[in-house]
Amino acid sequence: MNPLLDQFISESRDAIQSIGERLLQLENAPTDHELMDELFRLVHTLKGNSGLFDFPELTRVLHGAEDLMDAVRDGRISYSQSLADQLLDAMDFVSALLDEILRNGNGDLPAESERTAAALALTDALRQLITGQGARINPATPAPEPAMASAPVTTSCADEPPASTFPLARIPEAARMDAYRRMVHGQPCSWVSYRPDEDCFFKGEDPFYQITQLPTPLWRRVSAREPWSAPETLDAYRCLLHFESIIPMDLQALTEHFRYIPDQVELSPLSPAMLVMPTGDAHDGIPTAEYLQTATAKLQSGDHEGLIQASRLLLELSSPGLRVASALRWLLLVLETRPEDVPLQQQLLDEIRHGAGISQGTDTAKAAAPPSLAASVQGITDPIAGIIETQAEILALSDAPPWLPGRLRAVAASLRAAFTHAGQLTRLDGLDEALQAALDQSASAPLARWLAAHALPAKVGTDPVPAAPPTAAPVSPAATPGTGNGPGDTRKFGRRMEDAHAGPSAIKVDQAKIDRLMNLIGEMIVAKNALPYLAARAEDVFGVRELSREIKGQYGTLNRIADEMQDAIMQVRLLPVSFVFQRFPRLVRDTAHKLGKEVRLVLEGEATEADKNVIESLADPLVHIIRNSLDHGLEPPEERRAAGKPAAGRLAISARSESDRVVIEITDDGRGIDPAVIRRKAYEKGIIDEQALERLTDQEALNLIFAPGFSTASQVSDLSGRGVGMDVVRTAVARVNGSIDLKSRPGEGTRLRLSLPLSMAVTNVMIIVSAGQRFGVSMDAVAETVRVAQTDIRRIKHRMTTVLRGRVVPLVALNDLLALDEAQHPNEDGEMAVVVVRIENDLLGIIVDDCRETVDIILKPLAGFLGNLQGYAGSALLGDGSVLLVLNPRELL
Amino acid sequence: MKRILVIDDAATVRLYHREILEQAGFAVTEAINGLEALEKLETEGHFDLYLVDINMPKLDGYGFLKALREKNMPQAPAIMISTESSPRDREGALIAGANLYMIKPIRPEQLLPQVRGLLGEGDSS
Amino acid sequence: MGIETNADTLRVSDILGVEDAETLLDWLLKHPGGPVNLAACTHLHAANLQVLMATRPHITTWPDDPMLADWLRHALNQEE
Repeated sequence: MNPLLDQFISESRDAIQSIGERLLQLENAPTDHELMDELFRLVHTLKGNSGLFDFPELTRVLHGAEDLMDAVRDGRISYSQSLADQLLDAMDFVSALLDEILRNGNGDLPAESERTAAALALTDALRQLITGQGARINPATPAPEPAMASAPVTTSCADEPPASTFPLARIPEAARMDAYRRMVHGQPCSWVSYRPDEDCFFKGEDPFYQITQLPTPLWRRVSAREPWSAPETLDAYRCLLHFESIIPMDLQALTEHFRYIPDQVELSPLSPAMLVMPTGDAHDGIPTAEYLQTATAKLQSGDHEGLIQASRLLLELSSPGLRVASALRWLLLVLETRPEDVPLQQQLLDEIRHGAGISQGTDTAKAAAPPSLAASVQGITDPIAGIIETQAEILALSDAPPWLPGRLRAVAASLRAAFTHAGQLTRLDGLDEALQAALDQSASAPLARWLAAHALPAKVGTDPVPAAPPTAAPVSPAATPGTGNGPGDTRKFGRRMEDAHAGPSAIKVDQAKIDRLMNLIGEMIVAKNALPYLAARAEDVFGVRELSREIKGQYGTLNRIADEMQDAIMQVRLLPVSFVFQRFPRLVRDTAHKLGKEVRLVLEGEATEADKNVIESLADPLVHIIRNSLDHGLEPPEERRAAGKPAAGRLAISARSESDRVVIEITDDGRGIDPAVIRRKAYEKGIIDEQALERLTDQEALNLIFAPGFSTASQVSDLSGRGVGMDVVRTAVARVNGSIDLKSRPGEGTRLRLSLPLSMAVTNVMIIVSAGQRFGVSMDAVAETVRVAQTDIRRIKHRMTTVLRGRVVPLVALNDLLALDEAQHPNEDGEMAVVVVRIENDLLGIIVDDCRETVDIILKPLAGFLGNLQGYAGSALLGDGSVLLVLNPRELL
Repeated sequence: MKRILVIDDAATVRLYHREILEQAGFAVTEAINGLEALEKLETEGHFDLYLVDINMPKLDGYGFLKALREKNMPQAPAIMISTESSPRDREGALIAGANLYMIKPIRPEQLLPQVRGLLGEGDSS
Repeated sequence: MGIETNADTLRVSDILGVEDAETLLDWLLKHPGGPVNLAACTHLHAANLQVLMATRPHITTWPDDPMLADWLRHALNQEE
């Protein structure tokens, strides 16, 4: 991909991010002008950038957004939540387009009618906010009544033509015509927009089943309400689907079909006339005037055949993609199916007339532009003539600002350059003197006269430079129309928000480059690890002890450098947790809004850094936890008030680093979790038995919510026996060697604490041997290694155990776990090698044949069909070139 | 080599102009807003041409041009670059001290003749 | 029943339930682009639809059931 496109995409993403943040801030400070300015500028920049490429939809939507923000900034309309929503929608669309551009790779965005239609619809919606609200405000201005303020808004919404509530114009003409014909023949059709709740899967709903049970749609679109996240971070259980369709069914039957989820669907009956909507490019060049005259006469005289013939003729002349052609096709269809509907036919004729009117308008606008003087500047080519004309225009300005001398000198410099460029150096005679005179008099006139005399000698009649007022009439700068009202003055110097863009001391580096560094250091560590093998061989095979020692010495040095280098690369990979946290304000806002709860979100320690992979792996679990908190933890405002708490709940997310780990805490002041309820639920679900019911401490009971198949709230029903709840969170956290801990007090709130490693790229593993093969076990999991005499292994109910320091530890043979048909081998003294691993808070002894050294490795996940293998954390390349499979003890069991 | 200062808060636009101008053999310096552009003037002296965006944080294009024209230093031509073909913006630009007003996006074949013209370079084409 | 993988193709038969979405996603993460054979699929839960829409694997065979095939083609944008 080319660097410019790269730059564009990366800058756009930053801008979209900032727009989201500013909008949320504006929600709390809806009149903050600096924020509005900043927002306008962000949108404006995005739009300007998009113009450098051929992405018409992108530019169109951004243009709409820019106009909207311009209106907000100027105070023509005020900030509102629906405005924020609309703008966020537009940004989501832009994001999705950027993703698409990125996917295509070469900067192409092949035309696609649906996308175009979506862009049009979005832009319309944005523009409607400008015109709609403007129209609403104006009549209310004479007598603003705060108490009544919201009333006109709702009425006006209800008054809106139905066409604007669902995007009929987006639907291809053929599909609309199909629906039109059916309706004319008595088949009722309806518009269905079905947006299943995000958490509907957890309520056992299957929206796809729901929609496929309907008769075959005449048109349909299945989309995502927000761009899909990358497959690696996709939450398949968060429903983002949006189904839109025209269904050949009447409203009543559809209402019945969706009776359980009326709040998730939007149903509207369609009428044939609603679908009559010419679409296509407005374009001139079609001789419509004559046709319109004939057609109107024939329509009035009721000459259907004549009207049909004239229309067919014009249709043949028009290119099918034009709006005029579309209007003609509709006219013919209406004439065929509803010959009596004269108003509709007249409307379509108006449409054709209107289409022609637009092009006339453009021509007029062009004609009104100042006529070019190019021809009048003798013997000078076009761009240069333009430069000279512009300088004449500047000299014609009647103001006298403090910077006038500089402006005059710049004009003189421009003129000199232009004439030099054109090779007409002789024309420069007298320029210096004219400039000096102008400077002396602090006026443009001397220079203007010089230009008129020298550059435009052939000029006859009108003087291009209006007689500029000489110095005798000094005009105070403030009173000058130009300086007083010039756009430059409405913005004061140095009073803007801090620049949102990265300062010059930071550089952006492509992720792939860092990954490459990471892979290289990984290879280097592997290569370095070959040296001890070499040393051993020098000694054992070749018997050169001294060389062996030297190799070991070199290894030490190399080891230190590799360590530092690895550390340095790790530093580069560090990301602040704000990378993940920044999504939360919107998530919390939207979710709370939907749940009808009031929530105050407090973010702390956003600057805390950790490895990119760790940060990224945090996103999904945190989102899950936050949703849980909002949904089940925090109470609705009434309930909170009744409990003597403030109506708005508090949700705090904090991050900090503790030695080599990052600790993230999510605290709410909601209703907390009652251990007694957990105990009962766990018992009912068969997760614990009767004995455990009594034995468990309160804290142990709370930890049960992490058990597979457990979920606290009854509405989070388990799906086909597999709980989608906190166990998913725990698994995700455990996958990056993290741990999770929960504290809760009924009535007071809940705190979840996640502890994760700062980095996860290099793993220290112990090499063990079993059945003649080597395996690795992460040192994080290893509590200790011991040798246990065979006589000390007891069998209790077919399970092997031993006693370590007074504690009974269950034992398993690795060969059994791996289904290797071989017994574990003891050493010469009849002892078994045991790796004691810690899983949660329990110890487990794994019997192996031998324990060897520990090595640093770069763990790679298993790929291909091996990826399905349970029990392995991944593989790594060793210094001697062999591959080491690394076990995941938790999964082995 | 002629030195051109490109002032725009959009990194994409800066890169776009840099690529065009450098390929045509000019030396390009970038500034992300008017304030930084003024700093560049302090540290690097004057330039032979300025490409100035209008809407920028901290100090916009109008503000930069006015400050530039008030300076007691060799005054080089400036091109104000806007996203809108707006007569109001155009007038404001000329008042503030621009010598040309151009509308984004500017294709290389539009920009280069104007740049060469304002730099007084011989017509190489 | 459900998901069956062999020789690097994922084959779906009968109904894909909600719990299959994770398996499907896991497999597609390891085999970006598929291929996926849906010939014998009679219905898939919306969670699976989301996985397919988000990952866009190559579909070697569309469901035999024309209604379902139609819906999936629309959702996966393979047909206007």
